[in-house]
This record gives sequence, structure tokens and C-alpha cells, in this order.
Amino acid sequence: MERGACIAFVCLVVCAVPFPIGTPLSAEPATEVTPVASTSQPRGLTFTDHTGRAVSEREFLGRYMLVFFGYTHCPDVCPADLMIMSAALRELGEAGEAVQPVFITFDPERDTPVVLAEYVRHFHPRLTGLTGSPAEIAAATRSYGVIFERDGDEEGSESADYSLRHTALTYLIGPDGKGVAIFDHDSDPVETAAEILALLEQGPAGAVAGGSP
Amino acid sequence: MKSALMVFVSILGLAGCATSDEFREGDVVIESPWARSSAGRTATGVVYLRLSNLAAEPEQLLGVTTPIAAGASVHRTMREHGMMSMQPLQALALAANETVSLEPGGLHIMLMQLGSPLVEGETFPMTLNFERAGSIDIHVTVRGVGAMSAHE
Ligand SMILES: [Cu+2]
Repeated sequence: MERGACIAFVCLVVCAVPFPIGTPLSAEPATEVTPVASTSQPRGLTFTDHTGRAVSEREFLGRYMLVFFGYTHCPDVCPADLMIMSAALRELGEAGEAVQPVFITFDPERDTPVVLAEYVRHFHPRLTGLTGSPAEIAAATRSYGVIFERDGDEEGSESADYSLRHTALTYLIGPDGKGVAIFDHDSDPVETAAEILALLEQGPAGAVAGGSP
Repeated sequence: MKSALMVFVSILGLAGCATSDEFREGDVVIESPWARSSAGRTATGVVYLRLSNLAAEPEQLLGVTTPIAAGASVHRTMREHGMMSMQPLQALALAANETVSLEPGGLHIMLMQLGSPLVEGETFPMTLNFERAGSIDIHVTVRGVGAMSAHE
């Protein structure tokens, strides 16, 4: 447990929506506003991946996941965070192969599997894109504490051009499906990689220590 | 000094035409305009560039137009209570001798209702309207969807 202490528990957004059955791994006071730790998530989320295949969250068990929620029409923020994810994985080199990068859209109306397939390939060869029914996506965002809302339509823009206000955190999920760390928007890829590496070396046991019986 | 810069700029203009990525009109210089290519059928796009006001007086960017999109406006990416959003600006003020960078995570020109997807490697025309310098026509280079700067 203490090994997670280097990770500051910064609860900017996540607390606004309760993470289910979360047991914080670290209770150390925040010294810097970069990473974060904690939480677990329920099982049973389902999605459609960018190849059109129905997938369950359970299929990802046994592996680490780096998860970012966004939408493909996001012009500025989401591409930047996905590039950071990609750069952090590159920085991790071989160790990064243990981590499955995942992009989950909260705009399933526009982000169909076909749209996601075209999008994810630009960021990382192994990036999996997940969409789903509005209910599936609502369950996923609730589970992660992701908040998004439609912005007021801009003058001169049609409704198809809407943009979304949203949180922009990246979640490291352990092989047991529980949250291990949260990285802030616009984190440094090298620091992110170093933190992920430390957590990987600590092993799944470290991730499990907080929550499992 | 100023005339030397102008000669330099005009040489660049003659040498490069479409490929030059520095544009000048009056006391305003626009450098390295680039856009992210569209991933899929996205109807929105984003343009980044660097703006310099060489004058001793303030200047304002009042508007942006491009034939490739129905709408274009300057946006600032904001963070409020952990929520990221974009706020349209009525005008972008440049103080005397100020350089402002529109770059990922800060300011950008947002393109709305693109007529067709932006393809990496292509360029497209855009006009920036300034209070004092008037209209400046530029060419924007399309980079990869994951590009983070003009030189990737
Ligand atoms: Cu914008």
C-alpha cells in the first residue's frame, strides 16, 4: 500500500461523481498536481469496438489498460491527450507492451465503429476504440467518474457540429480491472511513463492490495 | 532593421509562394499555420499558427474565413473544475510588439462544417482579418491528426 504513496491523490473531478466501491490506494497528501491513484470499477461494462465487435470489459482482465475518454470531433484536447498516451507507451518501450491503450468515446451518436477505426489508427497501432449504445456509454462514464455535457451550439454552426465539455483524465487500470492511477490532462509523457513503469514493476499485487479481500 | 525584415519576407514570398509558411501584411506576421488532418468524417477542424504584431500600437484579429469551412473562429481551450471546454473569442487582441502563439491546449482557430476532410500534406487558403493590417491571405498546411506542432 505504501508503495503507492508517491502518487498524489488528487480528486479534482473524480469526486464529483462517486467512483463505485473505490478504496484509495494512497492517502498521502498531494504534493503535486500530476498523477493520482485509487478506485475500482465494477465489472460488466459492455461496448462495441472499432472493428464492430461486441466486447465486454472482462476481456481486458489480466492486462493493464490505459483508458482515455473523449470524442473524435474534439479538435484540441483529445488528440493532445491521446498523443501523450501514445508517447508514454513509446517511452515505456517493451514494458509498454503489457499495457493495452483504450479510447472510449462519450459521443456514440457520431463515433460509430467505422469512425473510431479511422481515428484510433492515427494515435497508436494497438489503440482500441470503444463505442456502444447510449446506455452502455452512460454506464462506462458513470463507472469512471467521467463527466461530459453538450456545449451550447455556436452561432452559425449546425447541431451536427456540437462540441462537448468534458473531463480529460487518463486511467491506468490493473489486471484485476481496478483503477491503479489517474493521470491529469496534459501530463508529461516521460513522467507518465516513469510512473506507469514504477506501478508495473510493483506488480499487480500492488494494484490489488487496496481493494481485494 | 525593419526594412531588412521586409526584404527577407518578400524574398521568402517570391521563393516559396504556396510553400512558404510566413505571411505578412503591414505590421502583422503570421508564421507556420498548420491544421490537424481529419480523422474520419469529423466536420470540425483546428488551425494553429503564430501571430506577431510588429507595430507600436495594439492590433486585433477580428475574424477568420476559409472557403473550406462554413465557419471559422478563434477559440480558447479552458479548464474549469477539471472540465475542458472551448470558448469562442470575439476578437484576439495583440499588444504592441506582441507575439501570440495559437498552439495545442491554448488558443486555436476552430473550423466548423468542413466541406471535406482535411488530408495530411495538403494546404488550404484562409483569410485573417485584422483591425489595422486588414485582410491577410495565408495557406495552412495539413499535418497528421496527432501532430502537436508545425514541424512534426
Ligand atoms: Cu475549438
